[in-house]
Amino acid sequence: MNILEISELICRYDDIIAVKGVSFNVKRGEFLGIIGPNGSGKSTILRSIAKVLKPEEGNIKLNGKSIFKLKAREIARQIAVVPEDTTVNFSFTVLDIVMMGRTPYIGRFELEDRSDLEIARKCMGLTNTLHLEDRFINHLSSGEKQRVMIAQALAQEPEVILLDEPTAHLDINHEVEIFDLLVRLQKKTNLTVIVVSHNLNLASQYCRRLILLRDGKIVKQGKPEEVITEETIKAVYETNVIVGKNPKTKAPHLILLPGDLEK
Amino acid sequence: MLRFKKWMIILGVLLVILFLTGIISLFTGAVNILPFGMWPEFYETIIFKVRLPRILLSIIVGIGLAVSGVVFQGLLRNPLADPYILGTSSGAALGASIALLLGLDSFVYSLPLIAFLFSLLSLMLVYTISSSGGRIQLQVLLLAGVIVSTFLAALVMLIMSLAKRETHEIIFWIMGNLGETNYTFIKIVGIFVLLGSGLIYIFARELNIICLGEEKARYLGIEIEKLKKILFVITSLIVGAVVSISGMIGFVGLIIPHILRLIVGPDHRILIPASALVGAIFLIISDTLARTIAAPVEIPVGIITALFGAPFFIFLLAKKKTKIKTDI
Repeated sequence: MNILEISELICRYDDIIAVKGVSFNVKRGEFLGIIGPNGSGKSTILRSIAKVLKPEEGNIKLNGKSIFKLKAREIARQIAVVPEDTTVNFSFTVLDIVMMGRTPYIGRFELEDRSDLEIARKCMGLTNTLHLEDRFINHLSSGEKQRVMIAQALAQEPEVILLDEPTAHLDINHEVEIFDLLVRLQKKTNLTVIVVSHNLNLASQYCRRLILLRDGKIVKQGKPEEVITEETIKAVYETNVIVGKNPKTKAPHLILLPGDLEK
Repeated sequence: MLRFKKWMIILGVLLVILFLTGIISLFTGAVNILPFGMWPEFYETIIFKVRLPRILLSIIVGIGLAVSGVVFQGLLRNPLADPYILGTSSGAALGASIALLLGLDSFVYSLPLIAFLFSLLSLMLVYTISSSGGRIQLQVLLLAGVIVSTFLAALVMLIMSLAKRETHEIIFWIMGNLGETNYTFIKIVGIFVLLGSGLIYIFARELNIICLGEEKARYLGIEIEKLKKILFVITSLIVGAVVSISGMIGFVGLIIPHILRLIVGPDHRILIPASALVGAIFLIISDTLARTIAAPVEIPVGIITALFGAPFFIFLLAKKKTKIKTDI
């Protein structure tokens, strides 16, 4: 069953058309990666799905219902987003931050109650951040902070989680940690995960399906071994690569070639 | 939860301090009055006609400045934001200068009224510059506020250089003064400040979430453009009302939220009421000093708040340098 149906999406920032007619569906419980060079429209699509950006044309359906008919709060109960920049300059505790994920469920004149606290704690357990509960968010390492932001997103009890470059500022051990966590969540709770990433090797390793974008259009979509091929990458990124296989997992693996090697 | 209990204790303690400060201030001044023994008749006049209204006004102005400071700093996520950042005060100053120049201050209500109208006009100008397509762009808003302020301040200077006789009055007004008041002013401004602060408090949780950034707040289901507009309108009315009656009292709206953020943390559900109370306490103390240290000459209270506020803030910065860096 499709949880998201995106059809003929066109998005524009002033005079730049960032997305030029993109259509795709996402199945419930899927682990989807959206990849492509800088400026190819990855984040724009993600922001449109979360309805913080109004597309010029096209439709987005969530569980068969147009998102343009849903209120921001209703969307926030079904779609959670972890944006690329998660800097918090205020010394909120980790628990405070995760509890903010309950916002779409708490009425204006209500206080968060015990069940909200339980949900927050459960999400912290899932992301291995429970021991950080009383620490200040602005005193954590990048890897810890990213796990807390994922816990906050989970506290929204969403059906879909969208992550924009979740490992862009992390060391390799944390990159693996975050993606392992996402796979675990997807398997355990049947969460639909959509990751925007420019790290092709990570995406090909973890995502079951990839959508490759260029200039606001889909160039290719399918399983990683169908999308990550030497010709496609060469065409989209205009650079020479060798596509091998990860010796352990058999996922396609990109090896970069220096530009002067051909001669 | 434990935290709410802690918050209630903090607010309770602050309320007691506020009450005691008010009482002490009531009996301190050019004439020191003891609360017991025989009172000549004019003591009563001093207490109820002169000092009490000033103390009440200090409380209201202190609350108004501190609360709007919290809101602007939170909303703009900028530690340098203060209640005057959007040009309110310069607008009011221009209005007051014009009123003084044209001698419109003979009727007691006309000066604050003109100042209030001008402060709202300058705000509308700032908003118009910084909104596009129904959205307020915060960075543009800050810039527009600074530029409009500078422009209006230049107009005030122009008026001062042209007017010889009224210059002193204009300067005195601009530097902030809680002395010339009566109960009617207090009631009117009190309604603006207390009602406005109450309304702002309803949005305390949203203000917390805005600290995560506008985009993230949207992902959490907050209709941020609507929220920004509501909060800007309420704070503008508060600041306009306060400025029109007290002039420019600097530093309260800037440092009180900072100090309280260090003490009670960044959660607006405690930060707003705690800042309000400390703002009131700070202003009572400042105004008491303003009318006593050089008695019978009175120093504009805005000078006192800056004179004592700035070193205190520098002291805090030096002491908690590393912490402040990360906490704003």
